[in-house]
Amino acid sequence: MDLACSPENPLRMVARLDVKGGNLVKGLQFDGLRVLGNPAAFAEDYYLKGIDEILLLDVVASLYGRNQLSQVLFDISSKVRIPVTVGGGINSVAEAGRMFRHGADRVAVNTAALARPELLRELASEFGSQAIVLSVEAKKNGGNRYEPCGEAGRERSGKSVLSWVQEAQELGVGEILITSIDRDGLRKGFDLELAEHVAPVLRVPAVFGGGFSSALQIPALIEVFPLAGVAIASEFHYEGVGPSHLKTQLEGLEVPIRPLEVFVEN
Amino acid sequence: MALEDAGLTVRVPDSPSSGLRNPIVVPGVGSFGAGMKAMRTSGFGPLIQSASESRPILGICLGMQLLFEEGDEFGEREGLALIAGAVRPLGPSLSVDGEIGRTVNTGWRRVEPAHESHWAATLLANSQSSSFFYFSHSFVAKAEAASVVAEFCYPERGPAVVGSGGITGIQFHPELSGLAGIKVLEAWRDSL
Repeated sequence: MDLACSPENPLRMVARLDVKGGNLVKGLQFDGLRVLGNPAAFAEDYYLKGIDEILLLDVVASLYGRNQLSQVLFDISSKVRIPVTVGGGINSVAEAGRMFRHGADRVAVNTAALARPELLRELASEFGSQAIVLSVEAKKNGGNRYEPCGEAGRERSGKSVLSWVQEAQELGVGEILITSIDRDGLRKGFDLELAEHVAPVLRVPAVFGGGFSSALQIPALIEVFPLAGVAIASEFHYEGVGPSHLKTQLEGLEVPIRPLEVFVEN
Repeated sequence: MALEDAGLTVRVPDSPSSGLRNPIVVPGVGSFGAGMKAMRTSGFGPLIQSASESRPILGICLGMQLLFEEGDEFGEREGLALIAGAVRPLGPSLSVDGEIGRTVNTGWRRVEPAHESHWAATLLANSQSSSFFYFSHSFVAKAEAASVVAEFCYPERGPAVVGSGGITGIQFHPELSGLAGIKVLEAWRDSL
């Protein structure tokens, strides 16, 4: 079955919001985080500009054992009428349940699943595969080997991205989010080598991110990867191209997207 | 909160004893079996069934699937049986090397009325032609053609909106579908 975007199944444009202590932050290659402001205000702005989904990640949660997203999540879900995927420190069915009760539509899991893969099966059977995203934060590790890292890039796992994606799919995740740590925040384009490396093993829809800076990079990514969605952070946060302009550019490049809606100020 | 965007006032009943006096919305996320178990043990299931003759009912996502006669997903099989049909897995999908995977429909899908000429008579009346709505499910209703109002296509055609008398079901999430979703809820409000 076709996992890639199509006119019936348009490309999902996802705004990635990294959060630390209630603030929107952004780093370079997952390091040197800068504080940018109130995540809910950014989320609402992107919603009004036609973004398809919000990805909210607490980047220090695994370090402290629990995320601090409840308030941010509440603020966002009271303002936007699009799905919100939440990640950071989700290490049990109870913690995922807490996120769903606070307004998450899907949860993304990384560090806790690397430590205990069976968590993915537990989450999928409790909440359904469609609600569970495996987040893979990949670092190139010499040669043609990519390693998934935990703790927002701070912890190496010793696994290979390929076998980890395959294992997680067997455990029932409904979607994979792949982020290149090496390209994160640099705004110099996607890691096409990583995309090409992972593409053959994908059996569920995948969202790809890390390094986006120009609309032309998306058709190039679609060439090598069954792209269901793109995750974009810096380019939006630093007011490069915004979601609505990017959609207009992608339409011109014949990339299938959800058309912009007209919001009327009242 | 999206229902409030559409001009509706929402009251969440604490228990079946407080009764159901107004139009009823059955939301829901989770599995069919767990959903019906909750319906039965809470007492809301029988109450919704008896209210269905006099009250408009709107089921959303799992809430729509529970309106059918039976389901296949974990545990209890018997549904509320307000609309004829059954709920079955999407797919299964057959991947390139012959390995069978589960099909999950997550994302924005184009929705078209089942009968092209009837657009204005459906919940899509306020929406633009072939609007996109957000879906997130891995089971799908197998409904009789007469009750299918609008369809999506993933991986094959399935009901996006069903209706039978005062009973309406929506497979997608109008509350997560931007303005297009709010317009669907407004259309339902206008039909009350």
